[in-house]
Amino acid sequence: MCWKISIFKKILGGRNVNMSKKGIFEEMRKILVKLEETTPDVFASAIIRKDGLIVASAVPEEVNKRVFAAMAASALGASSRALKELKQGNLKRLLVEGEGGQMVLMEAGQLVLTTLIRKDANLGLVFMNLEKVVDELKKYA
Amino acid sequence: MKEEGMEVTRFLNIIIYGFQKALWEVMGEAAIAASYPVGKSMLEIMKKELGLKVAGEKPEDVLNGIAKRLTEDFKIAKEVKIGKSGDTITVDVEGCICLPVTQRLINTGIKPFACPFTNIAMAAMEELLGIPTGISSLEVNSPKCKIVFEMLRK
Repeated sequence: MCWKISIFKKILGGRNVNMSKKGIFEEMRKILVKLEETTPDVFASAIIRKDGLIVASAVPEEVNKRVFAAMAASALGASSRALKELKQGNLKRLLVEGEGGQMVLMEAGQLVLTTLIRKDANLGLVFMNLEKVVDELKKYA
Repeated sequence: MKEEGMEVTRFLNIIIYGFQKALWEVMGEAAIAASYPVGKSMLEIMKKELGLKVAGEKPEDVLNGIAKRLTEDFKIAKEVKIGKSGDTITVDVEGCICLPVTQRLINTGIKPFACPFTNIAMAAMEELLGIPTGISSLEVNSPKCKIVFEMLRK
């Protein structure tokens, strides 16, 4: 009897791609930097694995990244299950509106793109840019 | 008295199974994300209330230290062997008291995410060495269990 998480091979060890683990993390970090440069409404972002491990992040120092990543993965998982239970298909994105800002979670294969966006953001433009990033991330997961 | 103890263990295992199954049904594979916070809480309590001291500069030292306490003092398992190759750590556990839960979960199609050794080890590795760790696989061959971790050094 055995279970395996084989889905993370690319992210974990670079065994399936011609890139070292460090190289992959660096690529991911660059993707986030580029996202925040091209989309000023995004003020914090992270790429996490569905098991709650952080792959790359640009979030405020005071945030406990590990716990935040676990929360984001859980929120996405629960939302996805709820949609399936209600027979509404796959989850496209999870938008959480707060008084101070908004959080958007999007699946990218076995990764999750997590972003914090300003409360008065142009959502159409933000979503468009996030989808581009998701497509890019799918190459790794 | 020994039989009474076994019944208590069996009952606690049923509770652990129930919680894990419920979390899995609600969150799916994202339930694995709970492993780290669970381990962090367990490690804190074990340090404060049970005097667990974890130290070491290498992953295998930290894990061997935990394994020693869990087997010799807390009697959670009969034997735990740690192996390391690159960023992969292999943990061979024999006679774990939680094995029936793990077995039942795998039989039900659930990836066990509340294995006490795994969770404590993950939390300790991150706390002491700053190395995030994820589970790659868990293989049960009663009474033995093989857990494989991957370290995510950045």
